[in-house]
Amino acid sequence: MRDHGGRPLDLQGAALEDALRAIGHRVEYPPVPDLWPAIEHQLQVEPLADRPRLRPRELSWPAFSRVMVTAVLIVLVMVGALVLIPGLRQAVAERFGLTGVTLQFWEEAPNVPVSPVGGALGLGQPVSLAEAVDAADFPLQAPSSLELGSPMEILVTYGQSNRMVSLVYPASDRLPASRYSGVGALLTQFRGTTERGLIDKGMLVDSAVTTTTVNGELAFWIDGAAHYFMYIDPAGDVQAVDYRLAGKVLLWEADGITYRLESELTREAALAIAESLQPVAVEGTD
Amino acid sequence: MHASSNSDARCELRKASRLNEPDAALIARTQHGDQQAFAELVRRYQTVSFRVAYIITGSAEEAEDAAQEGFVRAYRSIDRFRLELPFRPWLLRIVANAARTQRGRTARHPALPLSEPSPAQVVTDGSGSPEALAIAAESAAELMTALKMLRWEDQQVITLRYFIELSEAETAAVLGCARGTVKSRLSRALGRLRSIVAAAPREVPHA
Repeated sequence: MRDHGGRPLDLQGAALEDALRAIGHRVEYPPVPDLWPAIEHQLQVEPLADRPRLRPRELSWPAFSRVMVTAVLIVLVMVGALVLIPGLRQAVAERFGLTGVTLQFWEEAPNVPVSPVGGALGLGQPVSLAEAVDAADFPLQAPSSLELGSPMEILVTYGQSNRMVSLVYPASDRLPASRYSGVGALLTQFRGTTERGLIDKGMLVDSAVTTTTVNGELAFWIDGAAHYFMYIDPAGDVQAVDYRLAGKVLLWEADGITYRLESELTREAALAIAESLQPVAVEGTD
Repeated sequence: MHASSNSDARCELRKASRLNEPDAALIARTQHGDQQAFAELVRRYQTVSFRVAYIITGSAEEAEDAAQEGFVRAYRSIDRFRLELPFRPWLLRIVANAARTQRGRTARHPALPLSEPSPAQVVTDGSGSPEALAIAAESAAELMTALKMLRWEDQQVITLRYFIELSEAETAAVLGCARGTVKSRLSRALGRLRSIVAAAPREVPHA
């Protein structure tokens, strides 16, 4: 790039940045609409704080019908109907907008041993944080909440189409031990896909599932009787790599990544931890 | 005075007093059920939210939908917002997520939806050194062309930092990465931009 005299223009250092800012101040954007009237209307039409994500452009039913359909689906789930209606199971997760996870409901728990505290949790290979950042096929996140402290173990599982990273936190005064695994908290994250579930979550029929939000994104809070944490391959077959029993789980998806936080904390405490997630930065990684 | 006039006057007074309230005060009011306090937050941040969504979606209509959805999601999560934290990065992260979801629905290939301003427009901007303004005026078209030749991730980080002028923390929140990543990505993007510009042929006007 040269000026009228044929001399090259200096774009080194701050000159380029200043030039970009000057251009940026005069770039034309579309006019900014007045957003409040539409927002106010939406808040009045759907005043419930916790509700499944509904996309008006995709549905032609009125809001009341959508809520009723959602309620019916939850009832069907609670009576184990999903066990009997195969196609409906995936439809539930997709209806709630979560990919990569299929909720399955079982009428009774299989005889599954509890993983020992500190022992192999069946979540893959123990790695360092830097190795986990390298191995993850997504930006790895970690809670910045003080309650958790530092993870005592980090594990990576290599799936057929993704990598799953698990951060294991020890029990402490602020983090009660899990009835099942003995650890304080377990945060698992993996890239969800639109293919058939990477992880199936098996629950007993009297487990409670409610919807909430994490940073505005749809989330599930699963509480009650013990349920199961299982892997499933992209073909839809259940792979018995390991079985775990989990108590309370917060499950949410953001930017194509599914997060699963397992602990004995209250729902509000779990939500606060979920919303404290920050990207992990390790020297030399992008 | 009539009762309705008194009521209108009180409403205007409340509205005027909210204009100067800091974000934390408006958020606290929102958390206690004052929806008009949230309306003020919307008015305060709708321009930057809309522009961030526009950069991501490439469409004014989708940007409007995404910004609206972002604010609705923020309202529904406002109870858990910690008042000591800055509001804008948190809000922009939610808006950016909504925008990416919106763009995912249309499966549009990401591309910078901006055009270069005219040189006259750039020169009238009072900010920056005279040299910077001269460079900007002369090279606006070439810089924009070069910018659009960068890969999408580089275009985004440059646009967010220099055009919309988000802070490093806000850019990290929008892109969903660490601040250090923003720094290194920006440095590499600027380097690539300089290379493209340096390699571009340019005719020298004859005297």
